[in-house]
Order: sequence, then C-alpha cells, then structure tokens
Amino acid sequence: MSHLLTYMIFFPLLGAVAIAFTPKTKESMIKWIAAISTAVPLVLSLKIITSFDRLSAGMQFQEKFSWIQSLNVNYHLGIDGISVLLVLLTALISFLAVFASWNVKKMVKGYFTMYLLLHVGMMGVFCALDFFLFYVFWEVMLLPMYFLVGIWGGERKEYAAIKFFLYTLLGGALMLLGIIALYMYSRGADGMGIPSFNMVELATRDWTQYTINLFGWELPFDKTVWWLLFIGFAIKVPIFPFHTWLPWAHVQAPTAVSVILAGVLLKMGTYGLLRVNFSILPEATQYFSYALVIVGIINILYGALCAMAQTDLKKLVAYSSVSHMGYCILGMAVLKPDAMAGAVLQMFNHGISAAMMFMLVGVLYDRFHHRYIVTPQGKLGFGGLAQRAPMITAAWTVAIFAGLGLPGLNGFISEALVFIGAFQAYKTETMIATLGVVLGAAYLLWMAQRVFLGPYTALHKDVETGELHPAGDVPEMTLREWVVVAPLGALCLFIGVYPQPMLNFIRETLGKLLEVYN
Amino acid sequence: MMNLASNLPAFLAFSFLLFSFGIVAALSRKSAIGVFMGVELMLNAAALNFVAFQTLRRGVVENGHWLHGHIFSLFVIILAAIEAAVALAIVLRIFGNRQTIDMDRATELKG
Amino acid sequence: MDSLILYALLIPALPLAAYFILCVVGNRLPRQGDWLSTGAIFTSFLCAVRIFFEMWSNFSPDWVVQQSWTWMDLSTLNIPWKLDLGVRLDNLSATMLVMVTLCAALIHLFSIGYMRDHHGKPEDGYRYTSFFSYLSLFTAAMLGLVISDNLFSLFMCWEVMGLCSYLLIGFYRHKPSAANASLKAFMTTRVGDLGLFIGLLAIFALLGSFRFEDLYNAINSGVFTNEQILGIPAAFLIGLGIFIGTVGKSAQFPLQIWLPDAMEGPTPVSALIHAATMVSAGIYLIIRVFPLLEYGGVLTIVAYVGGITCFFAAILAIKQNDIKKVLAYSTLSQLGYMVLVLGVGSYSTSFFHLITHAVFKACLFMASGAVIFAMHHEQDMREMGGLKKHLKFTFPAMLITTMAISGVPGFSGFASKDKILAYVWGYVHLHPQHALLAFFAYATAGLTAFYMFRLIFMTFWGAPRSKHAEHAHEVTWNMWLPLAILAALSFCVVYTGSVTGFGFDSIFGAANNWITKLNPAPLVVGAEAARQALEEAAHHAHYPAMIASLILASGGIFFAYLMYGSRRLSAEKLSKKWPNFVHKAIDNLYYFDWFYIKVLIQKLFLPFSDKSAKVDNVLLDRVLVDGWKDVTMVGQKASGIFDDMVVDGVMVDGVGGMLPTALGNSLRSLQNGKVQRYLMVAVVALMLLFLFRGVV
Repeated sequence: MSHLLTYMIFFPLLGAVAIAFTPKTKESMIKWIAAISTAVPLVLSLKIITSFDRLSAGMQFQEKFSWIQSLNVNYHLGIDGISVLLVLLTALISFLAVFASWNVKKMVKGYFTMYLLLHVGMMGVFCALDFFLFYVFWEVMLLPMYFLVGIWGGERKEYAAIKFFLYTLLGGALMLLGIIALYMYSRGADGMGIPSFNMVELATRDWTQYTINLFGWELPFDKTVWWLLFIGFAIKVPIFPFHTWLPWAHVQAPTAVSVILAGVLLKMGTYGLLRVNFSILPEATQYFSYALVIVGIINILYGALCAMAQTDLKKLVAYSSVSHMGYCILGMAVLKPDAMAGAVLQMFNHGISAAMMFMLVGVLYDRFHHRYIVTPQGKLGFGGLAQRAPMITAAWTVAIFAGLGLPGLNGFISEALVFIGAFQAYKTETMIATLGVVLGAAYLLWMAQRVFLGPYTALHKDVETGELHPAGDVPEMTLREWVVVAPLGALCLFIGVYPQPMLNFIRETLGKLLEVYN
Repeated sequence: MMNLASNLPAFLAFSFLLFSFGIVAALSRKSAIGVFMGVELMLNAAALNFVAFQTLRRGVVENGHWLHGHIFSLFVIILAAIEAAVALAIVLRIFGNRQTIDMDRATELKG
Repeated sequence: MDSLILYALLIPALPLAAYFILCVVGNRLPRQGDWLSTGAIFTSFLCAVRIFFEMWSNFSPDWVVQQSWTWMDLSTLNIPWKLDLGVRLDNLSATMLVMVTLCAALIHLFSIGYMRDHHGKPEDGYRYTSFFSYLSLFTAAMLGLVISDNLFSLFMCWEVMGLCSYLLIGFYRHKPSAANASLKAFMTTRVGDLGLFIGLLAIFALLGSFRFEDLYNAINSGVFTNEQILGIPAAFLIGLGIFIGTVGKSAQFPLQIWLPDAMEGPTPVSALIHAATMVSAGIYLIIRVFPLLEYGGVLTIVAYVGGITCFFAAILAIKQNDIKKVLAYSTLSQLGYMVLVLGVGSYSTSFFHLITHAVFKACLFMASGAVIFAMHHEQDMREMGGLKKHLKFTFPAMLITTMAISGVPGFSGFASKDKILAYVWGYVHLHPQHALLAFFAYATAGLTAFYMFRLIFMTFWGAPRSKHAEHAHEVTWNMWLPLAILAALSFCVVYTGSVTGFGFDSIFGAANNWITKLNPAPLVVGAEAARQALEEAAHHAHYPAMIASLILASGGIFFAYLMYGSRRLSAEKLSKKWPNFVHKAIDNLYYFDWFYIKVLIQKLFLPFSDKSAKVDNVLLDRVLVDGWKDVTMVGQKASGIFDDMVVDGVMVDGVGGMLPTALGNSLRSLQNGKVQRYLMVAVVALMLLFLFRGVV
C-alpha cells in the first residue's frame, strides 16, 4: 500500500472535520469518531511495523512530492529505525488517551478537534524529512496543546498554557533560525548551488568548512547552528535549565493531555536531537558531547531530587519525567552503540511507563479531586489506598516499579544499556549518574508509602467548596481505565523480559548514524 | 498720411501704454464694470498691436499671406463683444443677488 | 538441549508460572490456590534432586554443564555486541538448588498452616492468594539467580527478589511499621545494589561479557593485571563493588539496619528471606566471584566486615525479648561468619555453613512461628514459658536446631562452625596482625550458644508467664512436619557421612580444587601458595579450634541455664554491671538507625531535596523564566511610550500634521477671494516668465 505515511498522518484530520460537522450535543458520537480517527493510524502503524525492513539502515516508506518549487520545498516523508518506534508510540498513546478523555464535560467538540489536530502534528514531526515540513508540523503541534491545556486544564491553566506555548515557540523560533541557516548555506561555498531543505541529504554534507561573520567575529558555522537547533530541542526534552515549563504544563493539563505530553511530546525533543543535531552536525555534536553528558547527569539527579520534595502527586511524576529523559540524554551523548540503543529504547519505554503513571494519577484525581500527597496543612492527602482499592494499587505498583527500573520491566533494559555504554566512555560520571537509580527508588517508594500503605486516611476534596474531608469508599478501576492501563502494563512487562524485537528496529539505523563518529 | 511702417515703435509704444493702463485699471477698480473696462482696454491694445504689425507688411502680398493681422483684430473685437455679454450677465446676476458690484465684497472663495 | 539444562530451566519456571496463574485467577481457585504454589515448588525440588543426583553420581571437582542464549543483540554490520544469558550447573549450584527448593517447599507447606487463623480460614481470602503468589515469584527469582551463568541475569533476579521482599515484608500493609520496614529493606539493599551494578558495568567494560566463565578465564589470562579505574586497580574496585552488593543483601555492617525491621513480615517470610534464600544469595554471589576478590585483594576488607558483623550482632541478640528479633540478630551474626571465613580465604567452608545455616535457621524461624501461632500471635518471650509441655513436636525440633547453631557436637552446625573456627585460627596464625578476627569469631561462638539457649529456656522452660502460654496447643501437621524434616537434616551425618564431621573433606573438600584448576596469572600464583598455607594452618588448628569451640559453647549453654533455666543467677543484676552507655548503645542498635535516618536522611538529604525544588521553583522558574515577563512588561511600557510620544507625536502629528498646516496657513493668504488679486498674480507671473526666459 503506497502513501501509507500520508494516510497515517492525515487521517485524524478527516476525523476532525467530521467532528466539526457533528452537532455539539451528540457527545458520544464525537468521542467515537475520535476513537476511530486514532484507531486507524494505530492499525496503519502496526502495518508499518510488520512490514518494516529491519536489516535496512536507511529511510523506508518514503514519499516525495514537490511542494513549493521556487524554494525547493518538498513534501518528503519517511521513517527509519529511530522514528518507527516513535510512530508506534504516538499512535498507541494517542489511541489510548482518547479513552482517558472520555469524561471531558465541557466543549467536547472543541476538545476532540484540537486533540486530533495534535495527533496530526505529532505524527508529522516524526515522519517529516524536509525541514520546512518538519517545522510546519512542529508548530501545528503547538497550538492545539495551548488550547487543550488552557481551556480544559486545572486551576492555573492559562498561566501554564501560555508559559508552555511561549517557551516552546521561542525554541521553535531559534530552531527556525538554524534551519534557515542550513538552507542558505546549503547553496555551497560560492552561494551558487540550489538550496535544500532535505534533512537526509543535508546530513551528507560537510558543514565544518563554513564560518559566519557576526559583528566582526568569525564564528564556526556548524557549532553556532548546532546551538540554535539544540536550544529549540532542549526546551522540548526538557533539558535543565530549560525544563521549568514542564511541571506547570503537566500539573495543569487534563489527564489525557498529560499522558500525551509525557508519552509523546517530550520524545520530539530527543528525536529532533538525533535526527538533526546528531545526524547533520556530527563534528559539533562530538565537540559538545561532554557537556551533554554533564547536562544529562544533572537532569537525572536534579530531577530526582526535586521529585523527592514534591507534595503534589502529578508534579512528582512530572519531575520523574525530567529525570528519565536525563537517561536518554546521557545515552545519546556518549556516542556508543549500546548506550544509544538504550537511549532510543528509553524514549519508547518512558513513553509507555510515564503514560501509564499519568493515567493512574488521573484515576486517583477523578475519585478524590485532589493531588495532595501531603496537604498544605501537613496531613496525608491519600494514605492506605491499598486497603480499599487493591486493584488500583496493583496497577500503580507495576507503574512505580517500571519507573524505578526494576529488572523484568522495561525501564531497567534501557537504563542498563545506557549505563553499560556510558561506563565504557566516562567512568566517574557514570558512577555519579547511577545514584539516580537509588534516588528514583527513594522518591517513588516514599510516595507509594504515603499514598497506598498504612491505615486508610484518604481525603476527598469537595469540588464546589474546595474543602477536604475524609473520603468514604473508593470505586475500583473501571473497564475504561483498564483499557488504557492494561496494554501499557503488559508492554512494560513484555519489553522488560524480551526486548530484542524492539532492539531489532533500532540496530541498523543506529549503526549507520554512529559510523560518522568513528 | 503718416508712414505707419517707419512709425512702428510709436504704435507699439502706444499699444503698450494702453495695455498697461488696462492692467492697472483691472487691478485697481473697485467696481466690476471698472474692471471690465480695463479688460476691454487690454483687448483693444492687443488688437492695435495686430493692426500695427499688419500695416508693416503692407507691401507684401503673396500666396495667402495677406491681411492676417486685420482679420485677427476682427476676431478680437468679436470676442470682446461676446465676452462683454457674458461678463455683464455675470455682473447683473451678482447685482441681483447682493445689490452691489463691489469687487472687494466677493470673497466667498477665500482660502 | 541437554536434559539437565531443561530440568534446570524448569526449576525457576514452575514457580514463575504459578505466580502468573495466581495473579490472574488465583482467587477463584479452590483454597485460593495455595496448593498450586506449593506443588510447583515441590516439583522444582524433585528436578533439583535429579540434577544433584547427576552431579553426585559422576562427581568431579570441575563438573560443569552450561548453556547460554543470546538475549540482547545489538550487532550491526560492523560491530558485534551481544548479551548472552544462560544456565550454569556445577557442584555449587546443584547443591544450592536442592537446599533452596527444599527449604522453600517446606516453608510453603508451613505457610498453608500459618496464614490461616485458628479456625482454618485464610486470614483474608484475597491477600492469601497474593501471599502465595509473592512467595512463588520470590522463589522463582532466587532459583533463577542460582542457575545463572552470568552476573547480569543474577543481578536481575537479585532485584526481583528485592521487589518480593518489599512486598512480603510489607505484607501487613495497613501497619505503618510494616510499611516503614519494607521501604527500609528495599532502599538499603538498593544502596548495596548500586555497588554491585557499578561492578557489573566495569566487568562488561573490561571483558565485553557478564559470564562467570569468561570472568574466570580473564583472571587467568591476566586481563586484569594492569587495568586501572580512576587510578585504582580494576580488580579491587570491581570486587569491592560486588561485595558492597552482598553487604546490602546479606545485611552486613554497615547496611545491616533492614534485617531486624524485616521481622514485620509474616514469619514464613522471615524464614524464607532471612534463612534460606535472600540473605544467602549475597553469600552465593561472593562465592561465585571469589577468584576476583582474591585477585583484587578485597578479602581482608571482607573478613573484617564479616567479623564485625558477627560479633556485634551477637551482642545485640543477648538483650532481645522478641523471639523473632533474637533469630534476626542471630542470622546477622551467622552471615557474618560466612563472610568472615570467605574473607579469610576458604569459600568452601563459607558455602558449607551457608547450607547448614539455611536448614537450621529456616527450622528455627518456622518453629518460632509455630510458637507464636500457638501463643495467639504473642511474640514477646517474657510472656512465654513452660511451652515444652504443650508443643510436643515444636520443642524437640527447636531444641535440635538450637543445638546445631550453638555448635554442639553431632549436629550440622558443629561441623561447619568448627571448620570456620579452624580456618580463622589458621589464618590468624599466618597473619598475627589480624588477631582481632579470631577474637570476633571465637567470642561469637560463645555468645551464640548463650543467647540461643536463653531463647530456649525462656520459651520452653519454667512456668507459663501468661494466659496464652498456659493455653498453648500444638500446631497443625502442615506446620510441624517441615520442622521435623529440617530438624532431621540438622544432624552432622547428613553432610559429612560421619558423626564427627571429618568426612566433609572427602565430599566437598575435593570440590575445593575446582577453582585451583584455573591457571592463575602470575599475581595469583602467590595466592596459590597462600591457599596451600592456609589449608595447612587450618588443618593444624583443627583440634585446638574444636576444643576451644566446645569450651565456649558449653560455657554459653551453662550460663544460659544458670540465668534463665534454673534462675540461679540473676540476669538483671548482671546486666546492671555493664555501664550505661553500653546499654544505651545496644538499645539503640549502635545508633545506626539514628545516623542513617535522623541525620543523613532527615537532616541532610530531605532538606537538600527541598532546597533543590525551591531553587527550581523560585530561581529557575520565577526569576529566570517568569522574570522575562517583567522584562517584557518594561519593554512593552517603553515601546508604548515611544509609540505614543515619538512615533505618533513627533512624526505623525508633527511632521505629518503641523508642517503641512503651517505651510498651508502661510500660503493661504494668497487666496483672499478677490479676483483682482488672482489677476495680479497672473500678470506678475507672466512678467517673471519673460524676464527669466533663458533661466527657466
């Protein structure tokens, strides 16, 4: 089947149009249209996965049409080993998160329209091979997020939404600058060639020969452009110190949006780093690799430390995302095959386990209407949930142990690969980074103790008055919630025990990517 | 008879004098009729000029080149008459509207 | 595939399958599925016996059956990268498998009785199934660890065991104390695991493989000779890292804090975790990597850690009143013995004591569980007394195993402890500067006898001191049968073929040679001589050590009888003789908990993490990010003012407004509405035109 990628990317757009024409009173129909609109890309992505050639390192399923001839902009799509897993992740998480959004009450039509637009943008980013197209999809992804957080979010939704939007837009602007720089200089040293936006083709060129003349200083072209692009992606990953938008966005966003944010959107940053910085500017990447290692370690440890101190459950999970992305960065920065495989796998694994954890946070929030591990008055917000809700506890246990990297679950595989590779390159730094394993266990299990163990002291927040009083019995997990959580948990276990299928996708492409570095 | 050909400067001087009288009269009269009279003087001075130059060329009668000055002065007289009719009509109307023909009082178009 | 390998894979696979089945449908099975779990482990025991039989019938020091499979393959066209996991059956693992499966099976059987109330109903149907599922998972992980041929899968099983101990210690999860204990156990072992993990990373970095076989070959061929990490010899650092993992898992000093608290879990859990399996996994690990420890020179540290642990834990056991706590400290102490003798240089003795200890300690814990059950869950020994009348099966079993642990001749513990003392004596003879180790070992022998018999006398002798003790009755068959079996296995003859214990050499002494079969690197040649010297010294020390241990053991039993059996000596008076600070130190467990929890965590770590979060919130977010909002507002005001005053005011209103107005006003005077004026202008213009004809 040809044009598979185009259908996969744009099918939700049809769904959005269909929703636009559905009367806003027919909420159930809108939700089912959304479910189908995300189910079809999932099926198509599974088709892509099964027909993906695992022995080929280059781009597959390519589509290329001329779009804006005068600028040499092409509609160029394609996926390789790095993006295929992310495509699967996006499709899966987006599909499951529709069920997480089932309880949206206000403006259902608008919500799902925005949701499906977001889906289009996310998929497009992972498949685009033309810089112009890449940037278009990147920005398409921004606006629905702004609305989703700003309208359907929590108490300080507007603040969080605008912060997220402006911060990411700033990154996008710097990235655009880098893209245009590459475009202009792709005309060659004499400025006489045809400029190109083609990401694959630009990676084959030597960028170290150019310099930029800025106010009389001669700056090396590749390192400067590397920084511009890096900051854009670093904001998305998020890399310390550009991460402060994340706690706000995660806490204030509705459950399903948090699931997508943690599951997919953060991976766009690391994907961008791999596809752009690492592939197109290898000399600069090598030059800055040690700084990246340090920053990755800071992410790991600092994220874990901040998570320790949180009393808001969702914020704790948000900081744990910062910490886990640190493993990705560390793995990528050491430029060794095992560590990089671990990093790419960690993108997928963290997407699954973080999505699961945020969904479970939503499960608790739906029942108790608050997220206090400890209330501002110092009492336990939850406490002893295992007594009344053992199924929820069981699901949370799987999520927690996947998060802290217990062998047998997926987190361990990627972390172990990262550390194995990193140790060979940087011994002391890796030894410091392994502290993150202990810290991760500390904050997650301490949270588990305060939320699930001990006598039942859970508090319930009255939605109108905002007061907290002791909660009564708690309804267990519903079928809908299991539909979201169970596949994610099963994947955690499966990949933890048998990761080789996933690794088979990554191997060849990473091999080709790392060829330049030796 | 006076020899017009040898007295051309005298005729030109005379028409110039008449023209300047006419300009002064047009520019300084308070009454519209006075301005009109100055304009008539200017016209006739121009006609006199034409006639003076024509008589200079009295002896030259070749194919079609004869009596242009006289004919043109006829045109001037006819135009003066027509113009007098129109101007007087305007003055009559101005008098009809405001009972005066004082030029200093017609300043509606002041900028 | 070799049929033995198949059996070996079945051994952990059966309990694992039981775990998954119980998770999914456990509640709905008859009797909530306890038979499934127990049946699985008994079947594993049979498989283990099969393997052991195979090992026994063609016994040789280097009997090894291995197979590995590629689990992760990251090879690309140019660079190979493989992670192989597999099974290694040798004398060590075959024996260990039998011990673990037997103890686990008996403990499963015991749990069926223990976890039901006095009317035979499971305490809480839903959690009853969970209990057995966790037991199955735990056993599966332990067995997986034993058959591992590489450090990576060992580490994975190690961590899964940590998970299960977290779930099992905190089984009574409504109790805050149990929740605390389980967190403490997990975190402490995780700190230890960090060392093990770093050791693992380093081994892979050096060798490209995690397999023990490759490690032994590498040590032989001198791969480790000049390797350094951060300027420290690699073998030392890696050995130390791996040992730190054992320190955590086997609760050695200074990470021993979790073991006493772990008594919060149900007694079968204590029996499984603290006797047979988890703690012995740590010892098993260092036995497996013994060549590395020897090569790296870590053994002295190992010995001292073991010695300190065994002595100081024994002191703590003297003052305990909770029956389980005594056994917990006793476990700490015996583990210390195992570590000590391995540090001294004899890993086969360490293994021997591991096996005998697992058997009698499991029996002791289960017996104490029977006592507790009979006492309606009362655990304080001061409330007991006179139970030997009521507990007709439990008492003999407990007495036998106590005699084993105290080193009474004829029992298994005597044989293994005797060897330990002999080796320690021999070592100190060779290296007199480490005499402290001998003091630790021998003093502990006496102390062990003392506090164990104190337990016996307080529990079973004298008059009942409470209602529960008066009305105690024997427990059900599924609880005393395991006791009987294990007690029967606590006799010397089982292990040595003789009553006196000298026969051990003929069976396992030969196994001592399997490591010497390796071709050691030049540095280790010196160790070859050291091992010989140690063997000889231990041989010479055998009789003196035995006599000394007999004296100490009988002394300990005698004093215990005086103080608690016949009440001739007063325990209170004797304890008052010790200074106050000693009592305080013991009561506060040497202030380790205070230091770790109150100082390190509460005073340092938590405030530090709070500060980090504050820095993130205030400095990074509010100042550096939101601060741009204020900058933008200032900029916005400035540009607003600029727009109003300069652009609008000067340029639009001024240049675009006032200038044309002024110009227009000045030109307006020309137009005064008078026709004559206009005429004059025309005339003047005409004149100027004529005047300046040439210029224009």
